[in-house]
Amino acid sequence: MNLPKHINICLTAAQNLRRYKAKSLAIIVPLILVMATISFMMFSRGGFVKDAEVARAFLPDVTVQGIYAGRVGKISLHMKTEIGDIPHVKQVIPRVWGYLPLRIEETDAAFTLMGLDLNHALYGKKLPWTVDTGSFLVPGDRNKAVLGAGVAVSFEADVGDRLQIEDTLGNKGEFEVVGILNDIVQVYSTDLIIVSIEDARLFFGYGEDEASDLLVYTDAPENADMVAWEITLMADNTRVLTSKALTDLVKEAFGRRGGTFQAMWLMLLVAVLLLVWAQSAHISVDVSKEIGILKAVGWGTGEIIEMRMMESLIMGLTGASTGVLFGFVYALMGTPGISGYCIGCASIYPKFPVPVHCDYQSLLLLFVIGVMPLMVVSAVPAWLAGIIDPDDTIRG
Amino acid sequence: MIKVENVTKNYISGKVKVRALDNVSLEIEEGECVILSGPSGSGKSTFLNIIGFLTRITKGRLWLGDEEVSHFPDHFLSALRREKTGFIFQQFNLLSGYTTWENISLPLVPMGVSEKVRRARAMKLLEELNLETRADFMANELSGGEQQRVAIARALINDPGIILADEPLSNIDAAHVKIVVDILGELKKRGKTIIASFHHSQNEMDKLVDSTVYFESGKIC
Amino acid sequence: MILNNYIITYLVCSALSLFLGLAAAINGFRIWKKWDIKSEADEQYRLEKQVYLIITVLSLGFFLRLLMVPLWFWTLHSMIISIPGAMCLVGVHNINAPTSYIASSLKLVLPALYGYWLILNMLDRQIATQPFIKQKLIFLTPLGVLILAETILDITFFFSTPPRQVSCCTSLFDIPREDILRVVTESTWIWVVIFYILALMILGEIVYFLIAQKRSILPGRGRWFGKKSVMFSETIGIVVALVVFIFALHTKISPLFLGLPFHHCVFCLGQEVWDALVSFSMIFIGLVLLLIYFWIVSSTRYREVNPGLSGNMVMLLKFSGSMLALGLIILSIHLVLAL
Repeated sequence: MNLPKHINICLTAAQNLRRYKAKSLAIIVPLILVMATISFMMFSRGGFVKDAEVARAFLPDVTVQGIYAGRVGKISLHMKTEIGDIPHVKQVIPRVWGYLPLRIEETDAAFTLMGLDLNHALYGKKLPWTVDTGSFLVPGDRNKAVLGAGVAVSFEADVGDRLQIEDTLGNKGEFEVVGILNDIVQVYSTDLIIVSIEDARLFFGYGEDEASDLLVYTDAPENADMVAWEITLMADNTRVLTSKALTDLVKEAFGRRGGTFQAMWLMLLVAVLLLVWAQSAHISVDVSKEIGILKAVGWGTGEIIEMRMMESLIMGLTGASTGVLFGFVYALMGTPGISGYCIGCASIYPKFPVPVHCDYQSLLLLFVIGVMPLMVVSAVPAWLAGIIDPDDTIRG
Repeated sequence: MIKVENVTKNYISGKVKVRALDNVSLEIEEGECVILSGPSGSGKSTFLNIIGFLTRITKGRLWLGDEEVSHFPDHFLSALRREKTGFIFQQFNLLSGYTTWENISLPLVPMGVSEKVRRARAMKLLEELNLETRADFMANELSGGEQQRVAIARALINDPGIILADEPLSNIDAAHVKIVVDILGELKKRGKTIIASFHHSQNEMDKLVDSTVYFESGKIC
Repeated sequence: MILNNYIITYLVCSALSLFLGLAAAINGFRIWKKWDIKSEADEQYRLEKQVYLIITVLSLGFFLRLLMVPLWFWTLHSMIISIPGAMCLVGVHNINAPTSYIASSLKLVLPALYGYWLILNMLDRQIATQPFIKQKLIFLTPLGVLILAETILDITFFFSTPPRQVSCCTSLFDIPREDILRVVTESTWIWVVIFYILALMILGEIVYFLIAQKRSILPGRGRWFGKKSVMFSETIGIVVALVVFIFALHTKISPLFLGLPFHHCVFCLGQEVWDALVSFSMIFIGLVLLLIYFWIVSSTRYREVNPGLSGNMVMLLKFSGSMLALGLIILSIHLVLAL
């Protein structure tokens, strides 16, 4: 393999792209736009999936919810003892929570009020958040709240403020803000208002022996499936969710959504490819003459084809790299303008920053999508250019 | 040695078949200077293109040295073009988007010669042809005579054994004719085989010529 | 049907690969029918120009196929969360077995066939008479059929994934079986030993050939070059070595490297032990290139052009031997450390 020859041909191809700037830009610019769109969606999807994976470490191994008439409802605390007796179960903790449909500045933002049993030490180890400002709740705290970052921004609340909440169902409460959570796992914490379980029971009208769900911690995560199976056998009217199932659900939801969006945007990529085809398949007289001269001075058909394919490769790599870079920056900026439409979380938290994650697999997917179709579309035009007869050009 | 044996060449233009060469045979020895003469359309340029490996023959056989090259595939012919022959075209055929030295070094690109070496070799030739100051000019910024000399430099960049020239004096002024003839004379002295086609007889070439071949209607008369 | 970024990207690649493969196969067959080096020059020249399209398409197709190997396995991996019961690639394969297993095998076979074609093409283009031209053109027809079959299998796999619980590697491989599969599910060193014996014999053969080539005493020169029986016997030998290698991986190497006595999953091994993946790839590439070497020297045309090609063929032999040897060394070091 004559490597210097291929380097020379590659450099000549790059020079050609500079020489025909307008034509090159007409292909590269639309490619950048399409790749930026596909990539910011992929990076945002990756962010949600990554958040879900990180959050799994903090989730209880099994979550048990009560089912009434096929719908999720309150669960009685008498089950706590029964579940606690199952082998490998380390601790069972009740939790009370619910959504708060609120109207803030004419948005349809919804938040989550979560009441925790503050006496359990496990919370300190397993919580999926850390406090950014102020402190977390301590056992015995009443009428106090820790806010997720999104809630704090929406209410313009800070540590020491008093937060009055009245949801659209008429539930009321007033809490002193003692801390604000940071954004390690945004998808779980940003919309949260954390209070004591007693305050939450009061707010949602739960009885003393009732909870929204029971959080089950096992001695080893590998035993979660077995414990979940035991609980299912033990109590008919329950919905038993393992942390893996919950994480997979998020991955599935965003994985499929990402796939659907990618499929839609591929249509635009097809349009770019048609543009490339239209531009490359038509060989102008000037280009034809140039190729004829190159062949007359000793370039072979293979070398001309290689040069043309190199041009496509350089255009594809330039367009895809720039597009991916723009997409990443746009995703980092929180996909301003369209996050609500694309990600589907604007109605939950108005100022939610979309998480971003980029790995080598995503990059490979993006470059395959951006470069390979362009190369394939260029193959026939490159060949047509390559087989131009030098004799025809010289004779005019 | 170049040997052409019963060569016929047809061109197909739409449904019309044009016979450009008709059963032509010729043998040219190494170091010879041969003039191909004849009216326009007589087949001398086609003959030049055939022995310059720019086009295929329809029938017959073509030999380069001891090797028959009639059925050589395209990539073998392109290698012959860049390694064995240097072609000086009537219309110069320089690439307008390239600088002078880049035009000269074009045959070296697919040979894997580095840019540094390409430029050095091009500059050496430009100095010999008194064009070193024009190295970084774009091809379309040069005068007709300068373009012709650049085209000659490009044909010589690989130090080929065979120089083919199609009407090399027809597009330049009288002052440059002498320069080009002197260059061809120098090449002949170095033992190169020179085959040039001329529409009219060229007295300036007389002292160089070993033989003249006259073409008419695709045949050698 | 499951739709995610990986599946869409894979399907795009699959469509491109099919387009390129069919274009090459159809054109290849047309040219093969008309190819005659002694025919009217213009017609022959036209055919020669079309060969360039095939070369372009096949070169591009080769790179695409190389990309599609990891992409295919990543795509299957991305489906684990969507398939109840699947914990690794075995579970995903089981959702649509045997379609999935055939499709996965073709992912490895097709780049090898592309590689064979490109090496044949490279050799062919070095000789003015193009001795392998007809052979390489007609080879495109079965290649095209295989690509078409693979695409159909892929589409069947992605578009008809049934919503059911699957068994995964633990249930597939751990339960002692009474049938013939038992012989490859039991933890035994026998396959590892047989593989090493075969691999060392193959390496010995390569070294002997290289020495003989250097001293210009290549065995059987003029006798076995160009013989189909050579290709047949060497193919059988190398395929047996590959199959034994897979058995060895499954029975002993996987549990040993993964550190779990009942975990035989080759897919998990490939994902979790990177140096093992590198060594397997090298052994695989080495054996496949060796196979290509023997296919080429067994060609009836090879006798006509030899020794014109000997330099390239020696390089191919050296490269395949180096890959095999390096792969074996890495594998052996890991085996010693694991023990």
